[in-house]
Amino acid sequence: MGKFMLRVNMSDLSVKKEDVSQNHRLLGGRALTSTIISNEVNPTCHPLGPNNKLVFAPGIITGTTAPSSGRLSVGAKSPLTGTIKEANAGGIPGQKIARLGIHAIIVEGQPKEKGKFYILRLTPETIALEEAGELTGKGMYEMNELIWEKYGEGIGIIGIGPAGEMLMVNAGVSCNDPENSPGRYAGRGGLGAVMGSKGLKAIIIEQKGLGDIAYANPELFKQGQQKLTKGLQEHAVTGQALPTYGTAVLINILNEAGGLPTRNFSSGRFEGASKIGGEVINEWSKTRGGKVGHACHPGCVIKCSNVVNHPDGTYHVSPVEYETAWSLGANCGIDSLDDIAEMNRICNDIGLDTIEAGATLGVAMEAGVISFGDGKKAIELLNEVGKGSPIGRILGNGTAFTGKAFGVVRIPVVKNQAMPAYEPRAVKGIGVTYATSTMGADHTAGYTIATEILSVGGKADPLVAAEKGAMAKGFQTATIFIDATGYCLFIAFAILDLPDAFQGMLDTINGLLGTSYTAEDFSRFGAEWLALERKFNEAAGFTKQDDRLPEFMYYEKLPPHNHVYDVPDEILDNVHSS
Amino acid sequence: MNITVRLFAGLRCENKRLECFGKNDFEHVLSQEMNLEEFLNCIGVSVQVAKIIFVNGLFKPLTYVLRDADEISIFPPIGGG
Repeated sequence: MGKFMLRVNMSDLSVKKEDVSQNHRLLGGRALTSTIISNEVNPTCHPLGPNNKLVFAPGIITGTTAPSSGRLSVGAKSPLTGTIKEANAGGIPGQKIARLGIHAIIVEGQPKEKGKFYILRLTPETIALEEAGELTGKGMYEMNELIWEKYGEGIGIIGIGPAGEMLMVNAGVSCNDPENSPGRYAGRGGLGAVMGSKGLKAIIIEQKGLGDIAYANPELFKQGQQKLTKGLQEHAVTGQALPTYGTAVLINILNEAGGLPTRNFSSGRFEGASKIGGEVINEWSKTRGGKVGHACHPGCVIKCSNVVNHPDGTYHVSPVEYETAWSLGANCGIDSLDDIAEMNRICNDIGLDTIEAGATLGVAMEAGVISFGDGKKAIELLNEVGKGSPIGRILGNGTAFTGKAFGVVRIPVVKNQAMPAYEPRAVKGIGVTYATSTMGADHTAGYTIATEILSVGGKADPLVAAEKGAMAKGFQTATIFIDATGYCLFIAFAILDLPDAFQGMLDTINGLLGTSYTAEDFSRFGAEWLALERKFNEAAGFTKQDDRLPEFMYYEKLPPHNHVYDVPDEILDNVHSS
Repeated sequence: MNITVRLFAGLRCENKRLECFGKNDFEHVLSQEMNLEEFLNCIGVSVQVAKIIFVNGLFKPLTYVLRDADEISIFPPIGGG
């Protein structure tokens, strides 16, 4: 089966298959979305206008039988940051798209009729745009249910909720998991609003089985698969901690390190931390039912996802991740995991990025709209977003917008994107990533936390500024490569520590593509792709002055360590120029 | 010498002779001076498992000698994101 590109023009509602060009053949995931955006999108275009494009690309290895390799990248110019953007998600759609032979889907143009939505239906026989009809306006849970009822169980769904339809810049793109929960999000940067601006409510993928993927060297691929699987199963983080406690196991360690942003980044410690972490989710899975060790897509051997139930044992939401437990919990002073789970469910339904949503609520709480710690009022506010009321419209447009609307100075964003769950004043290297990433504040762009907090791949003092420029650069170049492969970023915990697992990862790629990539190529490609993204951002008007943390972090000391952010500007400026 | 101990992600005091046996959050009285490695041996937690140790919010090596009123937090290998 030959691979092909799919170009979907929403202006004339046409869908065309195109050959995969030589330049795109070996690319996937973030490398492919960013290459296409760089080549085809004017960096100064309005992100929600007709000239932006939305690109969906499975990773290089996505759709194969390699372990934990189901990621799907979504790219565009971001309406939140104004930069190039890639967000990726697990769930089942990525594998299905790859197994249909689709290298990437490029959505362009805009429907003439405003407020009209369509679905793109992909099957082995058919590729067609259909009117969304009754799905328009629906939340993600109801929409996913209706789609499985109408088209069949097990179908992959990529969709937007009402936030995306209303073009709110905190709208994410949902991918469904094997049980049809909409909770796997390409959340960051407002890509759901771009999808809404294209009049695209959903992409549904009807595909069964392993597809017909051509391996250049099946034996090498198989060897690599075995090495990597062994490494993921043996490493204590990917083999034990993540499947047992999920990502929210980080709540307590960041709290102990004094780096858990609390009450809108006014402290690094939350007195209610022990009530909202992964240990509680694990305990609940025994007392309430639900699940830990849940896989977000078939073939994941890490299984960090979970299902969290109500006190009465009925289903509530999946998954509750670290970022979400923090943003809607500690950052809002809320220590009720049930309230956090409810807000998580609302975000999944409306179609919001939970990081941005929690940071937005934190700013609204600081402004006195509601009180810190008031979970019930926070739930009410989030529901306003889905209704599109005036307050809901403000909150749905994110942290920076809400801060301006209410006159708040402590606004924890870089390039308008909210910081995730690691305080840069207590973990200096992650601040370098936030400041200098091509995506705005984004921990996944260069996860220095691995060495600064978790002692994986080395060990560094989080409170010391020295050497953090080189560290953040190294993580950023490695990350973009993993984001291109379609592997879950969490394989990094194993491949950073275990040389055999790292080689296994390379072997799977070389076995699939027929390439002979080495560890050096890993860094070289990463640097090239980052440069491509930087070039887009520069052409969009960004300068080194944008590569800074918000000013308050340079003069407000953060308890308990009472540090300000003290990484010099020169280090930030040299991250990408050295 | 009184210290506060918090153990996370499944760690517990494994020494049956101690009052804190089975607990993961406890106050402890040290009758003699000891470093972190000796303290881990005392509560029956392997140094291989106790991958990350904070004392008063700061990383400390196994050779760190405990002081009165120290708050110790101990984690096995964990990750997330």
